[in-house]
Amino acid sequence: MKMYLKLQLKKAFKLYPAIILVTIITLTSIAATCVALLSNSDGKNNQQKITIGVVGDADILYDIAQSGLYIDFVDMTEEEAQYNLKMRKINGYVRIPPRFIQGIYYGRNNPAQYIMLNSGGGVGTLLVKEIVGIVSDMVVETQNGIYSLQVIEEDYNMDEKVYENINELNFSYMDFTFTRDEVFKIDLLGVTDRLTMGGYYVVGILFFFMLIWSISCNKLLGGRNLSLSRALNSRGISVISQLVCEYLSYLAVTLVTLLGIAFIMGTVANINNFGIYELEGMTVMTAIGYIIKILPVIIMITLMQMMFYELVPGTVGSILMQFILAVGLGYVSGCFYPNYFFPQTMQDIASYLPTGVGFSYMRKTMSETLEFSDFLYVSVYAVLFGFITFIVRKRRIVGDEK
Amino acid sequence: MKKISKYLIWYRMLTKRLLKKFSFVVILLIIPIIVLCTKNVLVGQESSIVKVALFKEDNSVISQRIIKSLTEKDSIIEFTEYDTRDEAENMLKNNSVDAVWVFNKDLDESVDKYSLRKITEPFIEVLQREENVTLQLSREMLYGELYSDLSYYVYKNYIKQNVAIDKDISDEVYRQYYNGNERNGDIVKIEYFNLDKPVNETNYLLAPIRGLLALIVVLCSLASVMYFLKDQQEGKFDYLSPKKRYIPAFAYTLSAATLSAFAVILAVFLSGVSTGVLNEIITMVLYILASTAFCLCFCMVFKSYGKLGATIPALIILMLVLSPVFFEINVLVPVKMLLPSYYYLNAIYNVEFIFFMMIYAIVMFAVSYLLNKFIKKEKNSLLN
Repeated sequence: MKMYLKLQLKKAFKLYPAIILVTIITLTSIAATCVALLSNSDGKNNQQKITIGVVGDADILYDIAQSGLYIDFVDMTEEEAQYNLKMRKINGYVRIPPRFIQGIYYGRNNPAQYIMLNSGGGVGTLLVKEIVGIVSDMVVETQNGIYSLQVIEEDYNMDEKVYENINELNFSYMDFTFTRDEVFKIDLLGVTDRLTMGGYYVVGILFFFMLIWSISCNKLLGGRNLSLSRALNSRGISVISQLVCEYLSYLAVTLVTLLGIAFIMGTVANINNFGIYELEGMTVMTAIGYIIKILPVIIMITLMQMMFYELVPGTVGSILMQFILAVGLGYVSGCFYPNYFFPQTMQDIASYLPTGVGFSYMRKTMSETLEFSDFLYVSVYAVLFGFITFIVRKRRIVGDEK
Repeated sequence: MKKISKYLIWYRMLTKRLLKKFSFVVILLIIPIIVLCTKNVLVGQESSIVKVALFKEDNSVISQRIIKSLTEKDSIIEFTEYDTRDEAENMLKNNSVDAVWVFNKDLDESVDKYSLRKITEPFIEVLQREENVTLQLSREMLYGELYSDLSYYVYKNYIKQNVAIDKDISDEVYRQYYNGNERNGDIVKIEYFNLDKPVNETNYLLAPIRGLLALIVVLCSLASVMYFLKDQQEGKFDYLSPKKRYIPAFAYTLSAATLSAFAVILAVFLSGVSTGVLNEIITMVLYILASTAFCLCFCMVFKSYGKLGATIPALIILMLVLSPVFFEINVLVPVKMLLPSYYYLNAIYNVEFIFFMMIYAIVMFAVSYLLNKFIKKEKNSLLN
């Protein structure tokens, strides 16, 4: 058995230089994503801004933007706006018709058009649509006030200074719009025992990486030579011993990779935490400590992946299966959208899935709210996956021999 | 002609071979079933990107009206009223909501005074764990609701203080004038760009499904390339010179891409995100070719299927991030333009990208052909 384990480890680590290369590429792409997201964000708060093009004269929009809205209005021509929209460089653009402001002023609304791509449905698009509705309603309310002033002045014969009054009231309305945050007393409680959105996504990306990691190890786990397994079985290396050796070699490669990621994560977080609360004060040692703490999840996930490699043996089929598992279960469990975005039924289903249990364990480890029951659920799944893997392999080796 | 028939023979043979793999066929069939189940769970149920707990300290007219309006609104932000402040705050502490909005008592009076700039203290408390764009935008929604009352008070108090100083006009009259205005219609109208393609108004949770499904076609093509490389390593193509192996490599990749595309297109229709039969078929056919060409380039560069397999997770992450699956990132454009999924996901809604995807497929086929000619001829791969 020792010799078989040695051989498996040798096989695993022979492939390892290629895997390290790929892991570095993957990490670089994730880091590039973070930089890309932050480069489109408000420098002070590290929050992403929505970029909207403006065609036509619209000083009022720039004023609104300056009053604290997380929207960047960029002046451009119709052609530039269309090109940028097609290339998805802007979320949409506003086409302001000539004499738009005068139209509002005199009650002859000549509406501006907000032009967006017809691929609606994304969160950003829906948010912008809601804002467009709010801005439109606010302008209409302002018009109500201005016209009522005009009519009431005429009806009660108080119209000596009607235009001066309209201007004054208009300025008053604008003043209330620009100082709108005054009505709110905002109390930020901090995250204490919970994760921030940034922290959530750090754990989410790491978890998703763990899920798709098995595809990298296709050569190690897939396409197993059953004749060799049968020969080993007849020479006294039982099915369970073979599985343990193969699994340990996969686990070893996985752990070394994750520790490598922890090293990079700790080093980068030490230099720049990207405004993520959970990365504040993170060192290489604390990052490695986190990987050690989530070892039960690593064991469960790797056993699950090994089980599916055993259930689906072909190269194309096994890779497809691993991908569907990673993306499908990762999506449902909240790797891409936070789990509370989903309806309650979906959240309930996700909380019982192995990925849901594992992701929750990792989040709770990060926020230091882990309970014994979390460990128990993960352990039960790990044992179950190990058992199924053993049964399938045994059936394939011993069953075929009969 | 002879060459084309050769391609077709290989294609038919390999498609048959793949279809004989029971597990592969089962997985392909599972894809639409999973998508259909996900859709059934997601559609028709309440979901939101932000949850806000509302609490009013008394029964002021304004707070009652705002709460009624917000809770009845069809929005991606979910508003729920709570009877006690503790209950609302506990929801925040339990992570069940993202914010708590507390409408202070005597809100009618506060808004009235605020419109006169007689008070400076805030009258709506906002409790949050952290600040983010969606919460900031949700407050814009709250201010929009408050604004209809504030606007009335600003107008009334302005007239009372500056115009009708010596006139006795009742509040009812002010209200009648304010509400009596004919609405002049919307100030901003939403229009869609490029209406030669259909508008897609799907649930935001279902929106990434097309992107995720699109990756399956590329992934199957890559897996098929691995399959080819494995067969090559096992000596199954030793009777062919390396230069002539382009034909089976092409057939391997195309057959897997086509089979997976059938499952994907079926899933797209079942998920309800489809944009019409013709549009879907045209873009999918081009996407199959684009994916095949893209994966053939990898086939020509790699010799070991294990090493190619090791690159797949990085490619998946790149495609997830740089193609518009979940969000748009306007950086690394040259890298984006190398990914077939970028063209496909744009071509669905933008007719010009169909043309770009065609050019992309032609260029990538030419690149793969040249790579085959110059790399394989020397029996050396860049990455051995």
